[in-house]
Amino acid sequence: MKKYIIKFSVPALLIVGLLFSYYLPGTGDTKFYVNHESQVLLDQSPIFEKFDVGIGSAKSMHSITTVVLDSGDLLAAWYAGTREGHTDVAIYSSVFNSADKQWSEPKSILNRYQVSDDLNRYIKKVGNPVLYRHPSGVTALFYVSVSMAGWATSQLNMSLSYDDGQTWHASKRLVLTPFLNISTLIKNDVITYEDGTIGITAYHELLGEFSHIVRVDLAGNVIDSYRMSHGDHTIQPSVMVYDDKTAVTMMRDSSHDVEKVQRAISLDAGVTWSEYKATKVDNPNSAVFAFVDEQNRSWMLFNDATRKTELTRNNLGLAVSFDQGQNWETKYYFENPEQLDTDKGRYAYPWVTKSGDDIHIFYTWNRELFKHIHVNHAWLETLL
Amino acid sequence: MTSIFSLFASAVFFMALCFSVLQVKRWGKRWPIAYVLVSLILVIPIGHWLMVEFVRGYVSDLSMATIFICAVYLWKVVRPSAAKVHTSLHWFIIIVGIFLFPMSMGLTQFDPFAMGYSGNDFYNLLVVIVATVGMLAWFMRWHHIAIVSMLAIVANGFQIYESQNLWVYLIDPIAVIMCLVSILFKGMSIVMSRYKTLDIKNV
Repeated sequence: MKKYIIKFSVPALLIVGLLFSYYLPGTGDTKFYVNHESQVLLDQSPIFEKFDVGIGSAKSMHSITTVVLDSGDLLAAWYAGTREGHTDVAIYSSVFNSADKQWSEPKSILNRYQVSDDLNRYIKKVGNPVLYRHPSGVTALFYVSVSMAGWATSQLNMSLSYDDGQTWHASKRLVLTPFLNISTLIKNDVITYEDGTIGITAYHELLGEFSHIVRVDLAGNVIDSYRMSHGDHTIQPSVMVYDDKTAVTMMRDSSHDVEKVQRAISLDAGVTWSEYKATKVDNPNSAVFAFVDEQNRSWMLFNDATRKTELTRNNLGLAVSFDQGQNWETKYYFENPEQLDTDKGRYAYPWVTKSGDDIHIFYTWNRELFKHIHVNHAWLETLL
Repeated sequence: MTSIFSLFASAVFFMALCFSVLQVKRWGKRWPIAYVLVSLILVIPIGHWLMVEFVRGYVSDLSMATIFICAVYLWKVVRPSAAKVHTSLHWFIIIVGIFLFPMSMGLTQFDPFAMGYSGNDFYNLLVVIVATVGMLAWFMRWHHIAIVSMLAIVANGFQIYESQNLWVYLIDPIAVIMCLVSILFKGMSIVMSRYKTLDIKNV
């Protein structure tokens, strides 16, 4: 009897494991969630307002991200500390009161000790927060944490807030690579699928440098992963969704030879992507942010330079495309249209949040603060 | 709950690593001292963290292959007559590693790692393949491959870690490195023994 139990125990457990594995949740028909409710008032007069964000949070700050709350206020998050990668770096947040047009005092919402306690593991530093507002009203915070070495060994984590960012639930670590789960980062906006799942626009930086969409549910369960590119120089994807199946990604070029913003298109809601191609837009290995306006025109914020120039991030341009990101025309410079040779400023990591007619543009200003520029669609029209 | 399994796996790995460095298998009957010593080291607080949390921070969630190899090593310290990890498992892990890691790290547009997520079109196929390999290995008496496959598929079914990916439960780079080192040592010992035989013949 004992002999038979031993003989068939492993096969029996294999069948049990097979059955439990087989019935884990899958996905249905993959479609993007497209919000058709936003209203654009093109007969309005153009709006162009400037604000400063983040002052007082720390000596050095970077990577701002925002979402629009139900009240119309903006919730922002960024990381700040003595310097990038320092162990005292924490994630800060602030709220923009849309009535008073004022940013609240920054407050620290997450540091490495809190993350360590949540994840039961050693955490050296945190960074790159990305906020996301789910159609159900839940706010998610995605951010990276590092236990060893530099950013290339980052891991991606997720935390939820049910009270518009006042309090955050314990973080959950997302397992996204087979290589000790290291080297998954995030920079740009997250997309939503029709079934309520979330597409994190992630990228990888160790050995290969490429972009992918990580599909998760609100509980933080990873359901699937779709590769946008491969190789070693396409990172920080910014995805523009045109309809429930079509999307285009613009990617930062981290190579030393191409130095152009890279583009790929998907016609099946991000599951498969075309081979990426270089556009004619220069890119000095810096982040871009692309978005679609209500007329389905594409816009992109970028540093208009290559690595060959000495000062690569001392300008920030806004370009428009009428053919889903294939050809671009620069229409405006938020920083330094005429002082490219002398200004030693660094204007980087752009971010855009749309809310009906309002468009909120953010970027890091010399790591000292963030610029917040509020425009409307009527202002965009004046550029065309 | 997922933390408990993962911390346990990190502890097993750290213990095996310490035993290897300290050459505990040569300690004879004093091996219990090593167990107590390393167990204490694991719970030493360093700043905000326990040693085992440091280990977990560095090695992430360890695969069943790594845990199995480490567990067999630790068991051999207690029972020197116990069987070693079979060479078939070493080759199995290396072959799977060659298939998985280069493409997962960006070599191609195809990402085999994504097959391990339950929403992927190829997930069910992967589950069936792992179960079939385990079943065949068991009846072909490659028991170690069968046990690792079984542990991986059961762990994935019950999602004992934070991961929802079958590959994470099956294999990790540490298992591949251990298997490569083991194969290398085995190859070297075969070469050395042939040289010795030749020397004896020449004498």
